[in-house]
Amino acid sequence: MKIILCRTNKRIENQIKKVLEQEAIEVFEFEETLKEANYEIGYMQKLLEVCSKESPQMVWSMEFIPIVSRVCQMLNILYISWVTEKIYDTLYSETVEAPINYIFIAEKSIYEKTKELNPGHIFYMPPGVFNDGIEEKKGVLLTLSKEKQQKYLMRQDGSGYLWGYIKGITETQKKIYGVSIIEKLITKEIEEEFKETVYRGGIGSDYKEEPIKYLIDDFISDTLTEIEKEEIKEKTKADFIQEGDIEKIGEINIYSTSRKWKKGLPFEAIDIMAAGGFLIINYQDEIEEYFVIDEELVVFEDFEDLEKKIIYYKEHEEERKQIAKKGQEAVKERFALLERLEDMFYILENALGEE
Amino acid sequence: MRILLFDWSSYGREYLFSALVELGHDVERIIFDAEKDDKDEEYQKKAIKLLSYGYYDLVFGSNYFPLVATACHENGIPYVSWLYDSPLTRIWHESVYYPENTIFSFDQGLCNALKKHGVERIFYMPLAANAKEEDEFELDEEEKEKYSSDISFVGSLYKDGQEVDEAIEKNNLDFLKGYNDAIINAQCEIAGYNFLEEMSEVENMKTIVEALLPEMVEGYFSSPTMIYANYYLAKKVTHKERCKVLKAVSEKFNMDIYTKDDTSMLSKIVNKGTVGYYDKMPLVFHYSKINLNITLRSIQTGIPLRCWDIMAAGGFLLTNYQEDFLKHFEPGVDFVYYLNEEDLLEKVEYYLTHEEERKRIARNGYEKVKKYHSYKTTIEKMLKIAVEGDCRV
Repeated sequence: MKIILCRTNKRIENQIKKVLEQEAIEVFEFEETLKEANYEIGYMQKLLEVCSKESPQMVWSMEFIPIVSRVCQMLNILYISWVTEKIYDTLYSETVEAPINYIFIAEKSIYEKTKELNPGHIFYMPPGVFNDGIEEKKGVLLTLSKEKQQKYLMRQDGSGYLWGYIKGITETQKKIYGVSIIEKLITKEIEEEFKETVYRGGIGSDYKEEPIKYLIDDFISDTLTEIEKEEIKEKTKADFIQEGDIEKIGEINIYSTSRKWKKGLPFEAIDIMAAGGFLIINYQDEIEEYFVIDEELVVFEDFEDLEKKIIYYKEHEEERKQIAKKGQEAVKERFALLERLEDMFYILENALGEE
Repeated sequence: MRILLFDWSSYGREYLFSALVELGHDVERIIFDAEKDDKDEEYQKKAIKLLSYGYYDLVFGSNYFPLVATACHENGIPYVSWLYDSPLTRIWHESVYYPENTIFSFDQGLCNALKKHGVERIFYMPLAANAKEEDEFELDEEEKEKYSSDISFVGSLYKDGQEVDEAIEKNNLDFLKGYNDAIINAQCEIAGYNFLEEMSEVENMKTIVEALLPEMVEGYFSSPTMIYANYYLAKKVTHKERCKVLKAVSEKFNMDIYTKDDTSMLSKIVNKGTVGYYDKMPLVFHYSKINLNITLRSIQTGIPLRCWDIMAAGGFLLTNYQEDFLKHFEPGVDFVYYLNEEDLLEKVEYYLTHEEERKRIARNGYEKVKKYHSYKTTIEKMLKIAVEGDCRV
């Protein structure tokens, strides 16, 4: 089997290539830089060319890229995408509806929001990892999520009431980890006014209208994530900071998820554990389903708690190492990338068999 | 000891006085006008003079008054204050740091907050209740019928805060209004964690506090947000929450309410008006199958007085979750708590139909209050700490 992997410069792409190749699948890396995900004609021509030459059975990418889907539709090739980041707005592109698409989503609440956009073709698939070692540094390392920011534009100013209300929700959510209360607090009036005031930028006419409550939720989550990033940088006084893909691990690794990643651990956090890093992460819904807290990883409830835990684990090296070791074993057992890929192929076989 | 009791119109004042006497102290009561507290200089001078004769060994009083603290401080006389109200702004007065003070609060959350501000002589002490005797509930059938309910609630709906509402409306403070609404809605959704005080000070909040509650600014170290949270937001949340909960319960079950407030928006509830604290209220608690408690949101973790009075009257208590309960009582054995509206409705249904269990729980709660939480026992503990420095509570 031959797969074309459209690269977008993510660490997980290297890992996927390795695992697929181990399974005797030929992987052709399409390395053209993607400047615009929807209508970039140059990218499209090059991908068409490569596909014609290589004749793959499938095209893969680590996010859903409408233009890749367009190419696959033209050539009638399967397009497999695995959304492992918090950005998912391209799922509202009409290209999503094509039957050649099979979309896997690594975060459950994003999956719940979007599964109806192409029923039977969108699945939940938690992240997986194949980490064969990474540089380890002395000291405290802070890893933050880094993704291209979504754009929000304003049609008009909006009332003081709207912004006061938004500020109120943002502040409340800031106090609470692991449970999202944003959706519960959005009233009909706020929904109506927000719709008149704010819209997503950079979206074409072939996009479906996203439910406004999701837009507000994303807007508040993005705002909060940015505020918290600055705060945590200041509070942790980390020796190193990295954003996005991990390049190294520290003795103590702190991870703060994006507020849009509401359930479970994101890829980078699992990647840290797989590399044998001791992980302290903000409390998240569903963590307990996969890990034993304080045995395999450590969670913090707020910044005060985080500061205490950093001090504690700096002084308790043995305990820290023990947790890191157990965490690494847990990830290898429960988050093996090979297993995720096998599951994906299994789902594909079944789905294709039914059609 | 010769004790001066600063007496004012607080609930339980009679129990307080009797307990001090029962403990063998020589107690003098002085009727204190709380309104004149830290505003009337003449009154302050009188208080200082009264204590200057050196006749009293100790001053005792419920809640906390800066005027009393100052008078004690000037004369080097110990002041024992027992907080039972929340919110209580006076506790954030600078006089709270005087070394003569020993302050007891029924709310561990408030204790922690004061400790954080460097107040050293603050201790947790729950409220108390004198358990009623069986013969106090002997009534004829007609009277019994009058005080019987499936579920009852005694208390206010907290329709306070109109002056703040009006100021916001009049000055078009839309941002603040939006902010308030979001915070109130959010706090209503979240039980067991009070975050109102931790909110940030948004524009105009300080102006409102200074304009409407000027007496809470000078000489006080509480922030405008704290005042705003406790005197306005907490009551708004409580109002919204009580209305919502009472509506939900009364629509499914027979429910009575004892309150001075208008309850016309709760069409199914029977409003039986107010009820006397010392004589009639215990009857309501005793003869109701289920007594509901919905805590005022400015109380962080503490057990409200209502709960003690319910248990002391042998009533079955169903309450929202408050952390301090677990220091003294076992849930499901001595009392029952609910987590949210759905849980509450299920528990009402269950305990209405499980009479034996309900009675057993009420009995257990009663016995514990009787054994460990009478005014006498509680005051004895406080005096021990205040006088002998014995901190084993």
